[in-house]
Amino acid sequence: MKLQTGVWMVCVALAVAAPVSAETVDEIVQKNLEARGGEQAWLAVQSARVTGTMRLGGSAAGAVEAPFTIEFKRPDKVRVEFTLQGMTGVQAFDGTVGWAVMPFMGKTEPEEMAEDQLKQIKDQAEFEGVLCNFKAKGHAVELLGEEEVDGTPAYKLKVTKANGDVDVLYLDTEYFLEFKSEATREIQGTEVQVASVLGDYKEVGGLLFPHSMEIAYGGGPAQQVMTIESVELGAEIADERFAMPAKPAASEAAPQ
Amino acid sequence: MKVQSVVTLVLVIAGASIVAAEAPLAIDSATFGGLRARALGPAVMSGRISAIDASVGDQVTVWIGAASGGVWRSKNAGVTFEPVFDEHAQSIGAIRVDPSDPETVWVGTGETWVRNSVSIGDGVYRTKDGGESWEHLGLEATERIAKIEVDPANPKTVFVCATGGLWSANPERGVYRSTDGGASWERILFVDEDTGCADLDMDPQEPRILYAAMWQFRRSPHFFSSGGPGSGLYRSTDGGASWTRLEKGLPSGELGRIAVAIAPSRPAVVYATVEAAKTALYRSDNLGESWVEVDDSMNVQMRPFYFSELVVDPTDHLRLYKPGLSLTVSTDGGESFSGLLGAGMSFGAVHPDHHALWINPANPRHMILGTDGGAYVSHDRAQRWLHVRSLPVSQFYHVSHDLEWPYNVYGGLQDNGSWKGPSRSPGGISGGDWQVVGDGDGFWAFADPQDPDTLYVEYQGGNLSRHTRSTGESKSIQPYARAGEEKLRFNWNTPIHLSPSRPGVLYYGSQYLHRSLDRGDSWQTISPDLSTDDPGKQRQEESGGLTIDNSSAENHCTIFAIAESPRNPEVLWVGSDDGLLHLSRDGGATWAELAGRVPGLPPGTWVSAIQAGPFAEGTAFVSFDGHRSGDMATYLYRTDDFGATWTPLAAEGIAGFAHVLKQDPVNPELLYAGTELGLFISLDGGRHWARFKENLPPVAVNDLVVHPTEHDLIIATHGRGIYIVDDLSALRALTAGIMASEVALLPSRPSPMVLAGGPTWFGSDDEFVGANPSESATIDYWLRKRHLFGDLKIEVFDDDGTLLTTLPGGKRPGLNRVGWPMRLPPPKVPPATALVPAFQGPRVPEGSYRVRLVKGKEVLEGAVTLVPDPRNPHPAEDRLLQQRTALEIYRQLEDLTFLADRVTDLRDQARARAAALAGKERRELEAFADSLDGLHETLVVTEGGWISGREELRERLGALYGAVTAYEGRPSESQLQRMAQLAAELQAAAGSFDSKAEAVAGLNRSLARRELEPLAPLSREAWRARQQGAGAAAAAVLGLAAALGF
Repeated sequence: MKLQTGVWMVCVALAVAAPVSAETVDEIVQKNLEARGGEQAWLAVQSARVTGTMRLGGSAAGAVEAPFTIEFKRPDKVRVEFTLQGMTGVQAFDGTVGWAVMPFMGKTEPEEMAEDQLKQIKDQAEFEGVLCNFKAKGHAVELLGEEEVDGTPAYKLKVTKANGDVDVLYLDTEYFLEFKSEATREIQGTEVQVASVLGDYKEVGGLLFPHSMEIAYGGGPAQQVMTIESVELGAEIADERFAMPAKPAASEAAPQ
Repeated sequence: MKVQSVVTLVLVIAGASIVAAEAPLAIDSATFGGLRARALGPAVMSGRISAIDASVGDQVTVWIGAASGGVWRSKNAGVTFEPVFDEHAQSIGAIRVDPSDPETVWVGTGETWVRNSVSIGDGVYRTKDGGESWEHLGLEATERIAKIEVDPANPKTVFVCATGGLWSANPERGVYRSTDGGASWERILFVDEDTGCADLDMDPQEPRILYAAMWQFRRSPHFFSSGGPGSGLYRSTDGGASWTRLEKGLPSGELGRIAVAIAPSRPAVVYATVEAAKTALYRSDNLGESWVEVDDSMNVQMRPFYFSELVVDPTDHLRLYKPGLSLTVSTDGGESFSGLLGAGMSFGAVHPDHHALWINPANPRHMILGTDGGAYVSHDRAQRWLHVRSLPVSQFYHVSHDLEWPYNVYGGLQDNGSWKGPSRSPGGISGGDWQVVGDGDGFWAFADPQDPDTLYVEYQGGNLSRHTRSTGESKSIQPYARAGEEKLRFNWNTPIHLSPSRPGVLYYGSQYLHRSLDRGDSWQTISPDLSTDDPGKQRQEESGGLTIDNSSAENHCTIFAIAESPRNPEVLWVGSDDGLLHLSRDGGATWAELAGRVPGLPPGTWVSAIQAGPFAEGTAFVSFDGHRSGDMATYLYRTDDFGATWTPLAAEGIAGFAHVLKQDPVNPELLYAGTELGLFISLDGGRHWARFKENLPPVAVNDLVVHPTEHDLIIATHGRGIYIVDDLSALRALTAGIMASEVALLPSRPSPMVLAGGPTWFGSDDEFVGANPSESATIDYWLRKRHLFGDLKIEVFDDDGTLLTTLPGGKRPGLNRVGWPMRLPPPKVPPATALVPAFQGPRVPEGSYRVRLVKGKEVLEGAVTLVPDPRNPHPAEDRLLQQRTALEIYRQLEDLTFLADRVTDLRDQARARAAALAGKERRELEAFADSLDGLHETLVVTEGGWISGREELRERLGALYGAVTAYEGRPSESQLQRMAQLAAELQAAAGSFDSKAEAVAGLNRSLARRELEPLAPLSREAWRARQQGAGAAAAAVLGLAAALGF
């Protein structure tokens, strides 16, 4: 459930962005950022609330739908909620502590996250995406070349993040928008391949956001599809939303 | 009841009408978009393993090379394997992990266990990131590579033992060396164009010392030869700069295949098995200077071309393993051997025919063995073995299907018998779902179309049987030569053909065509010898070279392909392995030879497959295969005039020698071809081709068949088992008009509402499980370009135009497939402390549903048809009652959720007001809130989670909902009574709330006095508005309720 790289652009500018060969990695990143509304505009966003629906199980007959909300706040706070049968699961990071409430089996107290989950939620906190301001954040970006990916000519960028994780991003050569990414993540001590397909880009407050994300683990078809219904930039979100509650958490999740 | 065989589809395509695909259609692999082949496996019998290596660190990472199924990596010492080489040549000859970096692994492609069915490679590859990505580093023309050695002290120095071409001479063979990590290669040992390198070993203590076994060998379609003046054992002591042929103590005269192995713990000791007039094991104790014959036991001598591997224990220079027909071990430096897999010739549980053995250098009790039946792991120094069940590298020769639902597939495999397996199975298709139905090497296998309990199966050399599945009995029904006939010659892979129009009529091919009208109990010979009958090509008794190897694999001048026209049973096409193609138009009375009329086809080219045209009796599609003569070209042809003229169909986009060519039985422009390098599809009758890649590696596709009622493409690969591309409807609909449009909605077959599959149990991570088809309804569409901007979604409506669901759409250029689970949104359930079995909405009724594809501002309309599972035994009225009952409980759950939310909402209002008050007013409000809490506690469980044993109305309704929706037939009377009872309880609870709410008026008067906001019970409208997406869901339920007659 990684909402990364919002990507994007105003259609008028698209016509100009004809495929050009021999782009340097900096030029490609720059065009991506311009297409998405500009690096400064992204960095200026102080908070955001994203809501939508998550389909667990992809296209499978047993797919389960769950509404979700993701809240971001600078510099690195994030809170993810999803609801099943009126019960709300929460994962959050307040910049220091990562925690979760998973009430579905009766446990309503918050628990601190394990290291691997913490790493994932920190990834999600990078609201503006890895390419935005990447040098200052300590990421390294390398152009691995141009290749056709799932039928679309793409720039293949390798992002080595400050924490050592490696993401491979595919940017289409026409609009410089990310439409696919691949990452290897250590989950419970094992490396798992995660591939995400992004699409349905829409403009929100001058920024271009993907409104659809298909996530596949281990090379199969998408197991998780997220459809974003709204993006609220600059949403009022209190810091307390991100802090681990001292007592039984998550209002609706824990009836008295 | 079968799903309708005709694809009925309502579809409207915006701005494009369907026209016959007259125009050529340039396509590429992206055209097929997100259409995926699904792998059925199986891994239960697995397939031939040709190379193994592993690295030993904190964990054992295992690398396995399959004979024709790619490279597999296990990061958990062999519990699970994953394919990591699926974009490259699938035939693997050698794997070597760089001794100084376990993330760097070298792969030499092209197996060197050169049996008749062996595949081809295209050089050497390397990964530096543990298999995530591979670099092709040349030596393309070597065809096959037996070993790779990497200098442990200088990893840029790499040696490749290139065996070279099997069916033709070529100079790209011998020993190659790179000193720059594979950027460039130098051929440092070469004998001649007929002699390649068969084995190579490097002294682990002094890497400048290398031993190389050079081998002269050749195959033709009818003959194999191992040995000749080129063969010999060589040594270099200067890192490959110069080589000396080792002869002292080795047999004089011509030699064949040699295996050489250095004892790692004492490298002066070197062993070699040497194929010669008398094949034996030799040992040198002086770095190869001189040799002594030490053993000539059966397992040492047997089939040297196929078994030529020696492995010395890493810690004991006198302990030597000889993988072969069996696995034998010597503990006395090769002086004597004993069997390891049970006594004598008993193999225990392990498949015979061993080609690779890895011994853990850190723990020599831990071993991995590669056989014709997959890989095995031992932890007790080869005493007991565990079969690796996660390697679906099965090598099918052919595939067929029956007409059951779900249908089964049948096929035979290299050294692995004949098998039957289901096309879908609860929880996936696991090893236990497969049933062995024939022994030996299997080839063709068919279910009798009138009686699927009866199968026709065979093993090599023409041994045909009729097998009864239910009892396991087999009756030999092989035809014999009759008076006046020559001895029958049966191909290794003898064709069986079932008449497409006359059940019980069976064809079988020797050099003659045989026909049986009584399921094989008696046979007529209905042709003369349809081969060249060339005595020069019938020398299988002499085949093998130094070691005679007459396994029937070289039987020649035989019939290989048979096809009866589905339009006219008198029209028979027959092709032979020696390049003749015959047609009879009178049921076998007279025959005409046609191969000479085929333009551009070298004479004598093996006929690999014939399809009699499904649309016209004068049409046939024929593939020819010259690879056994060294001709790797793709030969595909079509005739429409009974073979008078032929059109070549191999065109842009196709590669690999051809095994099969078929026309789609619905769209005549749609062709499928299987070659050694994968599955290829043409949409314009063979003018353009593209490889189908999605989840299907470039593996040999030896056979394929289109299922006539399910419209699936069933693919037999020789190396990766069976694959199925489900539902060809969309592919059939791709025309130039569609492909020119930005977006088009495409037809799909009627979607069966599959019954719940019954109990499934826990598995084991080490078992490969084949994928089931989706149990969702499929909605297919075409996108010319990747969708990037704006919405792309699918909306599904019922007859009344009520929106039932919105599905996210795929974005890929080409075909996209989206699944609709055929259900309403999940029921509303009030929050509590544990989940109840109500995650999914109830199924919608069967019938046709309107579909809208929304792409930005464009909207296309079509429909999907839902049909009952053909096995569904429940009468329509029972199914209707089930759906109405499920829906009623669904509505009750919603009512309960509304009620529970009203209760807690009013309670929270009361508590909030109470906090602002004091004294009696406060106590009144608190008491009111407490009484609402009391009511709430009768609605949902508020304490204790899962396994607390507690249940209230929510839990009882949820459980009833789960039970009713799990069964598609009539609900039980108890369930109906329970529903009524719970409805009454719900009504009573609602009444209780209403009477409690009567107190609100009085409380509000107090609140008004204090200028506090009055209490306001939540209205249904306000509640709905709070629910995300509730409007659509509620409308959907109401619409469906109307449809069901409420």
